[in-house]
Amino acid sequence: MSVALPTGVLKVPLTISETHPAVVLADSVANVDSEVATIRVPRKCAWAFREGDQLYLILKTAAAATITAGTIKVLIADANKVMKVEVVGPTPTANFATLDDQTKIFRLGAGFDRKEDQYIIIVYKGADVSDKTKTALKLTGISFTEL
Amino acid sequence: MAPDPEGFLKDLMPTRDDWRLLVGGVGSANAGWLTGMVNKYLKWEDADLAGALAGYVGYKLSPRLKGSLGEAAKSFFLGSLFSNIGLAAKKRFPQVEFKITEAAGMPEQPSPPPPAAPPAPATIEELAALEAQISTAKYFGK
Repeated sequence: MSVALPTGVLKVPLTISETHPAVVLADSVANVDSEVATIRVPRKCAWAFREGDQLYLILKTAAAATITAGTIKVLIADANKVMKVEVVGPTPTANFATLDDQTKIFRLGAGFDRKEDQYIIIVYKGADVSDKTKTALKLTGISFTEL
Repeated sequence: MAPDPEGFLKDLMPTRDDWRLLVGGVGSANAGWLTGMVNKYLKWEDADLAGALAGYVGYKLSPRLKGSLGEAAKSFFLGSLFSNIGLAAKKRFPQVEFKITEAAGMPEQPSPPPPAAPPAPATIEELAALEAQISTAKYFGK
């Protein structure tokens, strides 16, 4: 199904990495739900994440050891972070560690969307403590921008 | 007692005398012609009645022609007479109308039009919401 784009709307593929300006990284706290990556949708934008889009996440300790234990979940939140909804339930951290092997990469099970100022939050919980400077991230989707 | 099948079939076989049926059929088929011709002079309001009258007169007078010609004329006018009587009577008596009734529960009017398609998304939020719901990410290889 194709939908005609209104005049002044740009639709482009979206890849969010750890260096994307919309991403704020944070260290984790041992055995506590920690928001290791918070992604805020920029103004004049709406993002769609489709079923099958990729999420890749590598967390490392300060000693640069890759974290393989613990779980990761993905939440979406409104602009005030009042209401949070889980779009990826707690999943073993190791499931997100594949970047380019199409048979092993983690794909979203269902689509969701966020509009400007709303959040996508990646939460890690595990015994290890992640260092935000060593976090690697890739999240794919589609971006709609008002020109 | 069951009828003899051979005798039954024998009765159905056409005989030489059946040519009258053909001529009667031609007369019936040309009832309109006879009506038109006669009513050209009579100018009755009910032309079929005039045709029926002409058929009756022809039927009654046909024995004056001897031999096969008389028989043929008799069959022709008889066929026309029956047709014109039928046509004239049709105007005077209510006709039984055969109508195929709708199956129970089926509406007589055509089915209502399908619901209108939802409006196309106009804002980026609506576009993103639709994209997230209807699309799947595809891998095109490297």
